[in-house]
Amino acid sequence: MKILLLLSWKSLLNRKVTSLLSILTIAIAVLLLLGVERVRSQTKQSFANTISATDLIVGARSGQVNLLLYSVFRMGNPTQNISWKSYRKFADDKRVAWTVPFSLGDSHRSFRVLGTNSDYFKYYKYSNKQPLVFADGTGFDNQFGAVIGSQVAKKLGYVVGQKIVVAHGVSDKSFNRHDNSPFTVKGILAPTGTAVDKTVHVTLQAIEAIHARLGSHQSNAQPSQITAFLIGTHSKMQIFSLQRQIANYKPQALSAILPGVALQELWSIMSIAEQALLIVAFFVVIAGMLGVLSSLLTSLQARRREIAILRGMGASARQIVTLLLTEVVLISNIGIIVGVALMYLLTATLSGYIRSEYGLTFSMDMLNENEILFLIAVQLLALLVGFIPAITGYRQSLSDGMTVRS
Amino acid sequence: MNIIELNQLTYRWPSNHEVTISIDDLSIEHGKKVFLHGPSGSGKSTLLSLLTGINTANQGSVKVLSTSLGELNAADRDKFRAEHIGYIYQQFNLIPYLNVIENVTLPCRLSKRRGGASTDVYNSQALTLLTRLGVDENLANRAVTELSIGQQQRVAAARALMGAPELIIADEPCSALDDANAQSFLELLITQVEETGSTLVFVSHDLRLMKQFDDCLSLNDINKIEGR
Repeated sequence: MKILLLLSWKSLLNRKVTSLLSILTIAIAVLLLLGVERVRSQTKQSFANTISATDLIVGARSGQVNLLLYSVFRMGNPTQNISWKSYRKFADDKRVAWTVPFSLGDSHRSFRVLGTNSDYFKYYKYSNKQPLVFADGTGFDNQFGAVIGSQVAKKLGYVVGQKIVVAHGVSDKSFNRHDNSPFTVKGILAPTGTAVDKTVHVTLQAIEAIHARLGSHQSNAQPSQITAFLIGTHSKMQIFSLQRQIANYKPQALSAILPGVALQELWSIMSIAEQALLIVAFFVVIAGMLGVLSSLLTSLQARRREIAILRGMGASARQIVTLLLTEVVLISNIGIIVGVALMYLLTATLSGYIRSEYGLTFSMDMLNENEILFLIAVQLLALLVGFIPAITGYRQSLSDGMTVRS
Repeated sequence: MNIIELNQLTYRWPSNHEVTISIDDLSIEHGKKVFLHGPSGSGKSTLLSLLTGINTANQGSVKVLSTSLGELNAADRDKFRAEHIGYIYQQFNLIPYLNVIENVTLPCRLSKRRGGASTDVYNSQALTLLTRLGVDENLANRAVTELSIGQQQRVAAARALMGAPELIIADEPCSALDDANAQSFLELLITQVEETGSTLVFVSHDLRLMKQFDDCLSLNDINKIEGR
């Protein structure tokens, strides 16, 4: 066996260029496969991390995905608002430990503006129940204080003390810029990798005040309506009864959703794209294998004599098959190792950029079970493909006998 | 004692319709140096494949060292070949990606019996054989592609002689060499074969080389199938 390993190794070295190309083909396929898998699991992770420790999200009656999208991901628009009265009814319920009101619908230079109160910074949790942390400054401080997410600060170059204005509606070309209501940045949040990073937070009173000035309402700084609110309960046992009660609330049509369940549903929609990507990656692996196969079959013709010599010296047909298989295994093994190394190299060089641009964290984690399974699959596929040149070589050696008719 | 005994032998290649070789009787005595005259088309390749056990006869028996090759299974035939037969090809004898000494010692790595005690033992044996066959020791670690054809054939001869197998088969080893080189190659080969006491079956169409051999056989006479 040792001699076969030596022979196949030297034979690969003898065909440096084709061997290197084959190895590179496998390496790139493996890199792509692992890359897609890591992006997939990372997206899923950051997706699931968006909100935590919240028991229910309440909004005007709509599908749970829609409610989740606009309240947590700050995407799309709410259909209707919730009256302040309805909000207070449930906020004062004795089963409810805390609530965080949300008022959405405004923007600041294409970043969403969220009206809320200082409870937001106390109760809103992401990832594994991590609270929001201020990178700079403090909370709202006064009615026209604003707290901005890390991406907002970075993209727009804002610092604490900066004066900003808010536009009504989510389009920045809005005619209704609330130029008369300048806000002052009072705090900047540390990065979270969630939609919070792209949000400008202001007080509910400020939202109310700027809209009151626009319309004809009086500005008593008491909000008349909000868009949604988060609920934290005293006991998990009460979540379902509370949810049912909110759904059956007569004065207004409301929906209360469980964030975890809604996230699952949303993910199941999104994961189709991810799966398609993974399938593409698998096809790249297969294409790579075919490339390796064709180069092996080509080299086999040139190696007929080499095989005949080995046979003449007593190498058995099985040893010839093993020799040719060993080569494929060596190529795929090295290819896999190079591919994994490339993946870590890319992670090391690009993770900072990806984190700041897309809020996704790629760590230098060890290969997980899934990834190892993928690599084993690649290896097995290579072995399977390797049987083709091996059997061809074996057949040739039988028909050639002791002389090669070239 | 006969080292080779063929009896009522016929063989047809699987891809052919006609029988390639048919030999009633052929025996070669142990320790003899036999010149086998085999012009192309005389069934030479087929005979050599049968003698080495790469292929087995359709009918009749092939006995080498009193072992009937047809009765061995494929793996045992390969083992038998590795242990008892040294083979020299017409040309391109050497594995291009192994250096000189690696090529010479290859049979030792494939067969324990040819290998002897250890790497050191067969490496020094290889060096001795190379020197005796006129290949400078300094060439031992060179790539075989750097050698001249004459040198390559001597390396191939050294490889066939490693571990002193009972039977050495040379298939037109001189055909790629010029006359002077062919003569000196043959002389060195015969000297070494006499040294080890092996039997030599030397196949050639060049009758001028014949005179140094104990016996001369013509495949055209032995093979009942006419030249194709």
